[in-house]
Amino acid sequence: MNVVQHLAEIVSALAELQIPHLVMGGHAVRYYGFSRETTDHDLCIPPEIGQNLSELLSKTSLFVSAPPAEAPTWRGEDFRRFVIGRLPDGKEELLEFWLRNHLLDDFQSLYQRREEGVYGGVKVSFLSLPDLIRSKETERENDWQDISFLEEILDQRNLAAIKSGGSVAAALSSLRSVRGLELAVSAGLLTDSANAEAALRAAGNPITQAFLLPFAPTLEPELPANELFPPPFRQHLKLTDPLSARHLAMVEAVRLRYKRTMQEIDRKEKDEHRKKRETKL
Amino acid sequence: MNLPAGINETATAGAKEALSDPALWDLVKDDPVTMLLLTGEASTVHEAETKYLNENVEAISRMVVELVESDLTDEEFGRHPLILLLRGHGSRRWEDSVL
Repeated sequence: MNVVQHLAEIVSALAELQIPHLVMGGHAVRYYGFSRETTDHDLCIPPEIGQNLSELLSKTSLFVSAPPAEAPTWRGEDFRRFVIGRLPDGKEELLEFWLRNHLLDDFQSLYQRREEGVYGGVKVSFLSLPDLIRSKETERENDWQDISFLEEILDQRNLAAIKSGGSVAAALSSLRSVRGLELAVSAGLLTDSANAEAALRAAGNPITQAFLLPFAPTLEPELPANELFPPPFRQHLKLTDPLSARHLAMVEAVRLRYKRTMQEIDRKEKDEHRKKRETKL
Repeated sequence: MNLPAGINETATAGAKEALSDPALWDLVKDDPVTMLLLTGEASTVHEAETKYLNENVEAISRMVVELVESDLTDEEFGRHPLILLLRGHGSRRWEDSVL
């Protein structure tokens, strides 16, 4: 059984017990269109289910021959993992459950935004694409490589949605990739400055704001203060030709600032978690 | 010998010895990525570039603004090593896109 079929089996087993869940991690990355190797199975479940997780899992077909073997984690009550087999290279195959993820909203909100699709031959509920991207804004460089692909896929989906009646401003207000910007420009979506202005007003991410500002320069004074998108960048971007080397370089500088800050936030949270755990011990 | 910003004192003895060669020092003194490789703080070019970018965000931001304000044409600006590095680690253009 390959790793995708195994995930399908896990999802089916959880569904039999009516355990609400969302698939995240590498399987979700693959589902959304970036085909990369994954060896473990990451899921998000409601925290209240985590209390009886071992007992519930022991009732599933996943553990007919032996009870679930829980592996240690440093996140205690927020994250639990179980060994479900051995990979061809001898490493443990892990089934991992997030009960609370410091980067994400509560389970109910995530579940309302879920995306359902067929994966491994069964219907699977995945973390929405924006939530998946948020879940990967960690200190790990590998997660940022996933993000760089997922951002392009998100942009393409949002832009494609315009053809089926989606709002232009909504699609533009979450632009995160150069490729997405190029597609938007080639489709003429930024020719009308009203589109750019509406999108820039709605854009919350500094990377998106840096992409859009040269298309709606008069809005610069309205942008809220943000140290990730400091005044020198704003002053230059409102005077810079869209898609010029200067424009795109400043976007990447803002992206670097954003990434570094998100990494720091994640690292700090993990350090606090470790300290709490050490105090308990 | 003063090491550039971003290079810490954990450099291996061998790399320090290599950098004591004035000819080599002249070649790499303005190249922090190569310096990270020679001092053993990174084992691949990609790792060295990522480390340099991550550890010098404010300095890089200032340098980008200085370059934006320079007299470079947009083409010259786009060919500057720092801009190439920044864009090489950023969002892909159409030729490398997954779309």
